[in-house]
Amino acid sequence: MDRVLPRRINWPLIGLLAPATLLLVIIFLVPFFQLLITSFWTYVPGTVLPKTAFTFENYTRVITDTYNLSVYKETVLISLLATVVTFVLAYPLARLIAKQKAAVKSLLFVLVILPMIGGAMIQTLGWMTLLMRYGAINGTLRSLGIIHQPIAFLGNELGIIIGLVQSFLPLMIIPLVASLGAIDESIENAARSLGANAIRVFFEVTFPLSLPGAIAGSILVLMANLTSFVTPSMLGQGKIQVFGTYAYQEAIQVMNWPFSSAFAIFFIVFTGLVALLVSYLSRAMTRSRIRAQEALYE
Amino acid sequence: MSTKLFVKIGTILLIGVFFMTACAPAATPVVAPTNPPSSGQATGTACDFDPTTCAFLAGKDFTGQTLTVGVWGGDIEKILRDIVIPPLEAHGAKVNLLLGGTGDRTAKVYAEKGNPTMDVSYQNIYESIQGVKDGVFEAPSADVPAYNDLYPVAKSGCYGMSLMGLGIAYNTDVFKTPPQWADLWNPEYKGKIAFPNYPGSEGDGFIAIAARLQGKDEHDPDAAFAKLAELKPIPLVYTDLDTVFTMMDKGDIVAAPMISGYAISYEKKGMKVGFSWPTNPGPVLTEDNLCIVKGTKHRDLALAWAQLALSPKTQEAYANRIYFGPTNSKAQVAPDVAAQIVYGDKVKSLIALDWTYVSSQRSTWTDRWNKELLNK
Amino acid sequence: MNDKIVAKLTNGIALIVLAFMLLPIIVLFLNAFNASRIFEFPPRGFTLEWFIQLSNSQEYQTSIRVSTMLAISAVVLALVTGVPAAFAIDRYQFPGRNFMQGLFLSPLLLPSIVWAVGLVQYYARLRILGSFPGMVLAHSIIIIPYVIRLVLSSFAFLDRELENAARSLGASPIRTFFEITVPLIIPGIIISAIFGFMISFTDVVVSSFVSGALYIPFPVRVYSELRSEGIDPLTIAISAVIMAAIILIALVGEKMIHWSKYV
Repeated sequence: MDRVLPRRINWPLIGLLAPATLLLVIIFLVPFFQLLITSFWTYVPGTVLPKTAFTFENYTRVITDTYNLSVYKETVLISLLATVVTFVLAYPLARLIAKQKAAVKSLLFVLVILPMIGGAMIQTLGWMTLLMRYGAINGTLRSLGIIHQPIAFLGNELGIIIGLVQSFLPLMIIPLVASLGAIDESIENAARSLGANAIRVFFEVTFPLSLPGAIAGSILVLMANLTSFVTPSMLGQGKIQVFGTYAYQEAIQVMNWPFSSAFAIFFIVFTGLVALLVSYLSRAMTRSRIRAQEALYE
Repeated sequence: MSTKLFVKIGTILLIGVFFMTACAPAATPVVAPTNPPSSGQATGTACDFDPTTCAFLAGKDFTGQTLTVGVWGGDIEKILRDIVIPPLEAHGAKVNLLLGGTGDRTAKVYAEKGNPTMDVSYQNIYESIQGVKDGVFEAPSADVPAYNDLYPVAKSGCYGMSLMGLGIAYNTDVFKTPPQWADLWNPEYKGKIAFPNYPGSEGDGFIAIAARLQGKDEHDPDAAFAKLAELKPIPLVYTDLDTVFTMMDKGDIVAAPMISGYAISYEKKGMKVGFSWPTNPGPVLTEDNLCIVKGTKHRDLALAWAQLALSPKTQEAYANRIYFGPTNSKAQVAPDVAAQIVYGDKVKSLIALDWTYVSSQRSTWTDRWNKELLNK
Repeated sequence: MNDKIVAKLTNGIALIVLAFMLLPIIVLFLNAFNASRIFEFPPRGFTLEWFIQLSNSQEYQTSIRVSTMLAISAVVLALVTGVPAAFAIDRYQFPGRNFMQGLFLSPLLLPSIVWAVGLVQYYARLRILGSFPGMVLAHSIIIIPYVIRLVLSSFAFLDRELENAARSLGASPIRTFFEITVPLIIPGIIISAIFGFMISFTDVVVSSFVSGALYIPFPVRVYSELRSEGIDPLTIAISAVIMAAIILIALVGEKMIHWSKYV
């Protein structure tokens, strides 16, 4: 059972949490608060140094300018869609890998991770060459007679989603492999022997038991999608504006630090709320899973 | 059994950490001084630069000093390593190149204002003008002797390092003769003209051209944006060169505003692209700047760097190797190379924008660019 | 539906997904041998030139060494601080527990570009801009959310019954921890270490801003050339070499310590 904190100070607890907290406060929170302060400063056109005069104009612009809201909406939609697709595609492969033995499993594991070592740029470049109108994919589809006109993969959300899904599938698959691997086979066999077919076993036994890994993976993938920059920029052919590209444009190219800080803070607050929600849900589901497992053992 | 594995992994990790702490990671290599100085002067090797540069370097001793230069990587880095760094090392200096883009360089230089770790920083024209105004960079002066030989336009921000022209990169199958700006608006090419990324020098130049085609100039953005909107739908807003030139080579894009040096490099790589120096209106001038950071602790060394970098020899290397036009009027370039770069008389034919004004409009124009041009 | 058919179908989908994931890698490998200087598919011509240039390029090799050291240091720091924190969050009920969890996850939400700009100013004031420890600290912040998230989730499928059983059999808390708990959360640790390494090794944004002249990581070097020349074929060759090395290490490692049992 979880230990409930006694009234006096629990030194072991503090000792466990302190290093990470310290690290985060010193290296992340302090600059973050600087960002918060900057978001209330006044941008002076044509310069890099903002005036330290307090103003709400940045937040006003964030909330009322419809362009910003459309960028936010676009980002969230693309990210959610990509995350869902990643989630669905990850399961079969994770399952396959989890069931393999030693050498094959390690090879598959490595193959899944391999794309990540190239980084976003290399993978995206690869996709660009494949997805272009006269690229390999359109070429193959045409010679197979499936299509007559090349499909426009690039410059729209489709290409971006393809790129995002492929980039972050490892983030979903690997935790899933661990999660699926930890499931006791006897539970599945028990369900099978009770007459359930494979599909039912999956949805009613395997899937719920694998949720911790699935949720961990989903959160990581969703966050990665939301803040992604290189992939949308290149696969969108510079035409689709998402949060990552917009932040880059305003922070590094326009050098409007107050506004980009404000937009970033707005983004975090909004998205943080969503993340909290998911976290609560996952904890609730995990609790019910533990209870279910305990019930099974009785 | 599991403890054994734990111990094994732990040992490996511990050994790894030990190695890391014991052997500090090797710093980016600084090419070892070729001539360890004995008298503080270049021993043995004669100075093979122009007289002004050699005179400026003579007798200087930079032993114990390290110069930090923020610059782009790639070919530019190679040129600097080949030509500018060796003489400084012969005088006892160490040089570290801080590679990156102007975005991060600018952030670093501003953050360290008054107490910089970078002594020299390469910037674009807007950043240098602004930086001088903000007291982050030194204004150019004859403290660097080459200053007297620079074209006037190269003294606008810091020390102009290269001159390029924004012209038109085009697919050579589609255009039999180099196109003019107005040709891009030919209805036949609708949807096949790539745009540069914005904000950026290419974008500013394109806006100015569009305004001029309407009889105005960059001070009238309404005219400019209206004209640019006629080119929609935009097939590509290019951020990397491989993409735009591959698409141009295949014919998906027939033309794009492009900086001269880049287009010519890709032409040399064998792609079906050419570069046009338009005449009506002419190409827009863009220039890279070499800025001496205010408050640098190695000012003499920084000045020496600037002198070497702006000397005819280095400038000619830029021209011959990567088709960047020299800012030093004394640089000599062979005629076939001269035709491909901003050089000599061509300098005057380039349109110089009101950079201060353009820079002040950056935020507004970015907004308009996003809303009026990028939307579907 | 027949169970066997379902199994075959899912395996088929799995392999298609795997192929999909590897497509850009195949393009990459082919381009490493591409004679033309442009990144394209299919490649034209075959050459080993880029590998040869790579072996001669001291700058690139140094930057890879810097990136590797940086990544390993950052991962170690993130693990050393993150695993205990994950343990604390899982095992203890305390006020502010949810807040702590959110806090540890928050670096994921901030686009690195905005944080990097703030970090530059912060580091400059602390006079550690460009220092190696500064880079390690920044990278560890990026990695910690992964550690906490993944280790927490591996706690979740840790069966408390096993621990209780061990305790009831007389094992001390410490022994229980090392012989029961730790082996069961090793998957989470290994996975977050691997991801952490990858993310640090390939990080461009934060590294561009906090790196100095003395320590130039590999991605920063690559990015600094993009402005005027596009992707250097050398970069492609390097990536191909690194991937081949990883495959080799994984397979050899499997033979030696059977690591696949633990993920």
